[in-house]
Amino acid sequence: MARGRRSARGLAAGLSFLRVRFGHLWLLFAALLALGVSGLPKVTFDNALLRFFESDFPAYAEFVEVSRDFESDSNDVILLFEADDLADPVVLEAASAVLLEAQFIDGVRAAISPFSIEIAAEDGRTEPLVPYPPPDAARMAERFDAVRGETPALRRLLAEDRAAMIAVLPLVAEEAVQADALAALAALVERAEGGGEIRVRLAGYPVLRAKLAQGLILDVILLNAIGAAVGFVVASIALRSVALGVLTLPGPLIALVLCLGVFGHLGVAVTTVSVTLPVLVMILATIDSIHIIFERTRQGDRESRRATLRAVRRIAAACVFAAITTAIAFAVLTLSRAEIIAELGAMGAGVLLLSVVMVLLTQSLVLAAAGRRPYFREKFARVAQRPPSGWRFIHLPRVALSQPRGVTLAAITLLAAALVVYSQAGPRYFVLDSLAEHDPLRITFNDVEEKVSPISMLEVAVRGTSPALLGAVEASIAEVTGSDLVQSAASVAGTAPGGIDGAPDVIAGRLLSQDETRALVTVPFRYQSGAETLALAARVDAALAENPALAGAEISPATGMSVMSAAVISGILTELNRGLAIAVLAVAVLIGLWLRSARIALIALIPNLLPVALIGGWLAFSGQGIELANGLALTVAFGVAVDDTLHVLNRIRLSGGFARIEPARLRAAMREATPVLVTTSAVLVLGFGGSAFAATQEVADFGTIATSVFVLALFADLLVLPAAVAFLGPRFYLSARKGQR
Amino acid sequence: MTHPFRILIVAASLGAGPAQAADLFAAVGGWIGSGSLATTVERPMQPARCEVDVEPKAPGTDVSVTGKCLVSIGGSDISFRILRAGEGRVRGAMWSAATDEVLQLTGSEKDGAVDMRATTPLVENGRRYETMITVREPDAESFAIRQMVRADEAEPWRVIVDMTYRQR
Repeated sequence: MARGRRSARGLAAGLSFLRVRFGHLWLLFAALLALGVSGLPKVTFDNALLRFFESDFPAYAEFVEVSRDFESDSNDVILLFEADDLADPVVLEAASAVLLEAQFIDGVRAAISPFSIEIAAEDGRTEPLVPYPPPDAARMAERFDAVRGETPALRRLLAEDRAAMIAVLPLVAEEAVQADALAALAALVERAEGGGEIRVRLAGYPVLRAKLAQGLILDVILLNAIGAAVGFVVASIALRSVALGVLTLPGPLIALVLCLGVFGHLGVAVTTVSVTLPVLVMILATIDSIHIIFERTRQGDRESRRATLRAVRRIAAACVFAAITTAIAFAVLTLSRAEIIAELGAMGAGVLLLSVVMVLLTQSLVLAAAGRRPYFREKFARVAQRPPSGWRFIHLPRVALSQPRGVTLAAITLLAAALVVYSQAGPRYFVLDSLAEHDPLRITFNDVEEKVSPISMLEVAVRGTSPALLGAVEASIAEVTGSDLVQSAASVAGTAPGGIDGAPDVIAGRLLSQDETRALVTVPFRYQSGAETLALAARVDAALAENPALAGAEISPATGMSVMSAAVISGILTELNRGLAIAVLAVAVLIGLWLRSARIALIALIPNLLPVALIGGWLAFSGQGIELANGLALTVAFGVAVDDTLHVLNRIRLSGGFARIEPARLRAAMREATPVLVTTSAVLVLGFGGSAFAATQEVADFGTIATSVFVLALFADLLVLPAAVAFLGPRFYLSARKGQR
Repeated sequence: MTHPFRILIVAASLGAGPAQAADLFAAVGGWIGSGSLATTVERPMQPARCEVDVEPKAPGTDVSVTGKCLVSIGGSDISFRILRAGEGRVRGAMWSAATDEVLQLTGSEKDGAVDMRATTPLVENGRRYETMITVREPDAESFAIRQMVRADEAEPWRVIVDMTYRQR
């Protein structure tokens, strides 16, 4: 304990040195602010779906190996056409006009639709499936039905009831051209709808990416605005003063600017994974700022600079350790084999440590300057005379300290049960999970899947292109999947003259490698869960391996975006769980070193693990599974939730240390800590609660999980922590309580 | 089971050529054509759309037309040039990226209507086709171009391009 005090004194000595160099603090502040501001214009946003999975997992390598040889669907826009009967000649002419006009849009490379399918008629000559001029509806329907029964190519494009069909428009890869093309396509769709003959909607990965990019920018603005507003309002209410609430703002806002500036300077793009990092930085900075201002109000009539530095000195240790514990949670992510997660870990750890320096510095300068004015001195004094009560939350520590044994044992039992259930959670990733359930784009994707054909694709690359070989692969896959949508160059070209050779590049490139030594066999399937996708891929691999007709054939493992993402996410989640365990251990070690007590370090883990285990257990129990956003949220929220625990432990430390904890002193410490904890938790919960309005579903999921952990963490810190300290801590507490009786 | 249809997806192979309005040689700017065309001489007609830019090379006597024509499966860049040779005679040339073949044209112009024949045969699958191109003005704001082919003089002309252009 004495050594713990020495470390705090060391920090205090550093701050004392700074006191005489107050002018230098302004210079440092200006330098950091300039760093942040100059980086802001360089901030970029990355919506690339594939980047999530860049890693050294074998599934990713297999996916890349196949993708290199074949054109992917990642740049395909899907047009969904709907009408009462698409065999109606008026409807067909309207759809044809839309597709012809679409192909004139810069960036649209082709249009693959029922109109682009040609058939060999009875006289042996080829002709378009949709002749010109189209026949009457009955004859066209008969033609559609006949061809649909024969080929997966049309089954993938046209619904059985002919009420819906899709056209695939591959776009060029350049993002700027894609953006203009999407805008032009949206305008075209709007004009087509105006005609009244058909309903047309847009879907496809480029549309999804554009929406996510737009959502990311909106989210950065929205989440940070909500975070700043919530921090200000909650601080104003807790401090009973708008003016004091304003004083809590500079540190967090400048920390936010610094965080975004660092992103810009380092050239690290904001992604759906890292978009919550700036708001997290700002909210944690707000919490530190609130802790500092509360402590400043307790400094009585001391001279302003002295009072400010004393307040900062008393709080700095907890703030810095809290930042370190949160940074540890991020730092463990750097161990991930997925680049985007490792990048998030490095950025998170770095900007959190930088921002705590920034907020301590900024708030020292702001409060020192404000404290010189009688107006603010009077406000500080008023808060000191009537400190916030902590509302009804103040009863929680009282309950805990009246029943420490029961509360602690109940918490440990609950923790153990939750951990067991949590360990059963499976991975989940679906590209559409980035969109809210009622998002119009998601509804369009769902309608494409339900009415026409699934969008998730399982792919198998085969060395060789002979119809017999491809036919055998198709047959095996069709048998094991039960799907009539399996397709390869053999079934597309059939026995038509010239085979696949006559097909345009955008079609041939999806079926044959450029050197024409490999062929791709594909089957669309409805995504249910990561586990089911991996099981399906395993069944396909097994069926191909067991087919004697394919003995000796060189066939890749089943892959495709959905298969690869399920495997990689599964690996990442395993890493995240391992990372969480490392973070837990590291936090325990850190607390143990800080407070020089292994016992207190272990006790502190109970209230911090409990919220994470309960939410993780709920995700497993409810069958939702752990998505990437959820897995990250649990790890990061653990690091954040530890912060409040550290402030409680700091309050106990400041009130006399852990060597001898008497009931009265523990009660007093909890009385002092509770209002601040409630205030900072309100900032956390309400600030992150804003993510429920996020345009990106992953961000909303991250916020929901993190918020849930923060709510539970508040209860755990006010109920479980004091009970566990009393029951499992130094034995003086219980014996002292008996003595009191 | 006998398959009533065999499936084939083919590349587009266009050979269309746009022309002018009331006064072909006074036309300028962007024009959009709608109608139908056959992607090769022997294939059936399909709905099509062309977008071209008309640029006078020498005012009143020489005009260049470049652009793109599309059917449902794809498209081709096209280029067309026509010039007045004096005494009501016109000469021209037509090219498309799909065939990468230039057809030399010669003909006459009367009352805004242009009729031209190719000076060399169009060869497809070993067969030689005679080519005729006509330009007409259905109304004051549009022009129509038709391209017709026949294998020998005894056969009737078969339309392979029928596009009507309006200014963008």
